[in-house]
Amino acid sequence: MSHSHVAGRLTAAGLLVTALVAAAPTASAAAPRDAEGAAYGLTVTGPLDVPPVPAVSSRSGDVTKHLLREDHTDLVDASALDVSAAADRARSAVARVAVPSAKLRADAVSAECRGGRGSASLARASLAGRSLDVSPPPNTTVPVDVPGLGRGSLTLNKQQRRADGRLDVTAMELRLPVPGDAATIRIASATCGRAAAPPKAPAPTPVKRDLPVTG
Amino acid sequence: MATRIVRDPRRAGRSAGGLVPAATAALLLLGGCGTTPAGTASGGTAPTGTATGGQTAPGAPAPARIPQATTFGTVSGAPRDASSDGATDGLVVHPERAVPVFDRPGGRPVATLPTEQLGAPTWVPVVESSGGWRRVLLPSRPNGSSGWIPGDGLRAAHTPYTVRVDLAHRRLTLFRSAKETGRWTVAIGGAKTPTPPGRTFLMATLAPAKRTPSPIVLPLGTHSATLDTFGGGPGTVALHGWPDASVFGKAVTHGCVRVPEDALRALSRVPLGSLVFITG
Repeated sequence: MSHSHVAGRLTAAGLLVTALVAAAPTASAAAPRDAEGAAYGLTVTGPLDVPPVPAVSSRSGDVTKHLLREDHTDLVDASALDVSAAADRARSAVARVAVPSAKLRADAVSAECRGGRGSASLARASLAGRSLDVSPPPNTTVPVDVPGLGRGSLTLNKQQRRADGRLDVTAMELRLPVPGDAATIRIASATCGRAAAPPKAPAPTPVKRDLPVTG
Repeated sequence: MATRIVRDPRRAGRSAGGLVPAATAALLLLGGCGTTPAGTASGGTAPTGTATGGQTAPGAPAPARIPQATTFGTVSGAPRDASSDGATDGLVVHPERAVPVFDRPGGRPVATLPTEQLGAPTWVPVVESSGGWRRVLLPSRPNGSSGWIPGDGLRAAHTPYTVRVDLAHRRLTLFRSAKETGRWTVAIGGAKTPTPPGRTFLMATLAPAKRTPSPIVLPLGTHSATLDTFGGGPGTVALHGWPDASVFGKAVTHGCVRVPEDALRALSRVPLGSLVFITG
């Protein structure tokens, strides 16, 4: 599996959105003003950048998006993705996941974050023929051998605190040893919690410098 | 010597005799314009090294066709700032290392946002968020350029300040937490070199070598729409002082906003990245 081949297939497939519906935010409940939920279905970083799709975020009421995929790629295949977010919660569910190069499959993968706490669940998930736990503990990591490329890793129920204090929960994070750089596939991710208020911006210090401006 | 390029050739013809002497005088008064950074021509890729405050080693090769998002550069393919009159929650960010700027989250890279602007730390306003991505205003041409940057590796802060320039009434108002803290009558761009309307931000606070006409110059993230270059610079619009109070209330500048001394004193304390709304 070469870079260019995979890139070409990804580009050709283009992660086509066949159905995309966003609901208008509704009135918020009593969520903190600085709380924000966010979720996405799938993203790829590394030599092959695929932005998070579909992606939602909300500081108020529920926002949802649904993405139906019909096309397949060499790298990753997911047929249906549903994400939702509100100020205090987020959820992402992806169906019929397959990463053929890693022999990773799952009927369904989901991540949920609510009130700053996260969970993930897998349905009929397997790696190289071995079944994966339905409710894996946070940050469960298993090695992944990719024939001809080397060893990568699969982290299940990855939970990571952001710098702003919010929690990221990703049901599956697969690092593949693609030549030249690692490709990371993240499937079903949800973020929630109350972000710490940023500090006051500093007063500027004048810089001794001349710039011709339009007087 | 003051040099400039006027976009509209008809204006060039008309203004040749009328504006160049005024421009020369303004530039002389602005401290002789100091050292002109290399690569000030509009369009094309911004220079690396000295133009952005030294965060790139002088002589280092420029990234292939990816311009730096500075006041000297033009960013092609950058998304336009769609809500040019909208307020934000005051979030501003500083990249702790140079970060790529994309046309959409995870999309096509269109520029690199350096850690410094004109020798000062880069602080840009966040005007939209999507997941871990932030859309920020850029200081480059064309006016209204914005771009998406990854939220990782950014230092975030909150500014309570906004500045509004009302071109119709030739008035500048400073707000802190949406409350007016000062209002001044100012001078704005003349009919042939108008101050460009839109949402922009305070990009830097400069102390020119010569304190006359202004001891402090506050370049904004916007440029003259009629002057491609001015005095060897890229046509950057700024807020600055002016010693002759008779100009206030008049449309006489080449795009900059000249403000009274007490306004300059107040504005020089406003954090970089704070939004500036210029309305017609």
